[in-house]
Amino acid sequence: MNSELLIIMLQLAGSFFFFSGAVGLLRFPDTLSRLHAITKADNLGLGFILLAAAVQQPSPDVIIRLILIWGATLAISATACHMVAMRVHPQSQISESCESYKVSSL
Amino acid sequence: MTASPVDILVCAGLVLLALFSLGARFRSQAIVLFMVFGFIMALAWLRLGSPDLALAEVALGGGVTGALLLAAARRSNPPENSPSLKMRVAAMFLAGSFTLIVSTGALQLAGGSAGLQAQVYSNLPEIGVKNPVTAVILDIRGFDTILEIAVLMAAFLASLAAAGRATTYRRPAGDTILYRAYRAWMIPLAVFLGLYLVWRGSDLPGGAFQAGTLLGGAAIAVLIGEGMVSLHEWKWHRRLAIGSGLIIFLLAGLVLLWNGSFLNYPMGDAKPWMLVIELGCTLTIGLILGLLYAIVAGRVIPAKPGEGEI
Repeated sequence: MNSELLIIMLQLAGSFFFFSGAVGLLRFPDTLSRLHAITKADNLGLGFILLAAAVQQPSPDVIIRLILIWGATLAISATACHMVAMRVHPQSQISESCESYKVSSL
Repeated sequence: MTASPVDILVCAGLVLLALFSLGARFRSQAIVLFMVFGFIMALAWLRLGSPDLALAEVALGGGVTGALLLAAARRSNPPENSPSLKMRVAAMFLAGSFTLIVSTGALQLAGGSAGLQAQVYSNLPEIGVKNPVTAVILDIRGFDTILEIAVLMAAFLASLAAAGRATTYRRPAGDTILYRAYRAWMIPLAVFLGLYLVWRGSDLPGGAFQAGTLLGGAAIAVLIGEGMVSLHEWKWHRRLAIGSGLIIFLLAGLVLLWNGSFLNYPMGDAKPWMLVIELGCTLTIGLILGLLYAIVAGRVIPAKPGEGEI
């Protein structure tokens, strides 16, 4: 397939997921579902956009950076989402059930 | 010079976001719009070929300032009291007139002057760094930068004085497995990235302000997670760390004064001096931004008589 066409399709896919994330953020009824919309859809959208960038500049240097960017964004948005969710539902038992895990085991 | 569709989109977005932010009904709305404005502004700086400013803008305008403003808005009483229509119109009028004055001046400049770019670039080999922004900030306009750090210190001391003697948060958001992993992995990464930004700042985009803001953001994340900071247990070495930027800057200036004149680096060999000064400034900026957040977001609890001092 023509790489130009592939880039455009990947970017369109990314935009679609960003757009759905934004719609979810505006339209979903409560904080938890809104969090779901922006953390899942947006990160998928970012993945597609970065994939498009990788196809456009297929050098190992750029690809490693793009992977690092995506990984860092995933880690940070998951953490931020979790912290906001814990603020919204502090009485939920998520924290306790995680107690058995240790950070050092990661 | 022709404007691409992206440039037009960025410019229109900036103007609309500024208008929406100034006209927003609720304070938190205005702040979030201002943060988005910061991100789009960073894009505009990138389009203008200023990655240094883009980095600083996205970290400060999009990040730390937003956190400070949101914390301040939550503090104000009642939390969601919106500025009146009169206030909003007045704010728009003031911002509009200011923009008009500055842009008129800028347009008049653009006709006759190409800026000082050529002079700065021709002086770079003499200074010994490759990033023109760093050369301007630390050498050509070094005096301004000392005063900027001093202003930051003064603002911090004033906020500290206004905050009272001890500060704590209402509730830690942190004690979850994800936050603990974040603290263990991402915070060291942020510190590492900050040091890297300082290191590469002499040759590539980066430097003390970007790195310091990155550290400040990491500090804010830790403060939100841990939920507590006590300002009255500060020992002398912590005060030294906060003041390090100004102290190192002034010491370097004095040592150089011994050799000739104030902040006149040795010919072609400014890099090590700048690196040390920038490391100090990074520490100062990072600590002060983090602590400003602690002061604004925290709740003042009165200290017991005779307990500690700052």
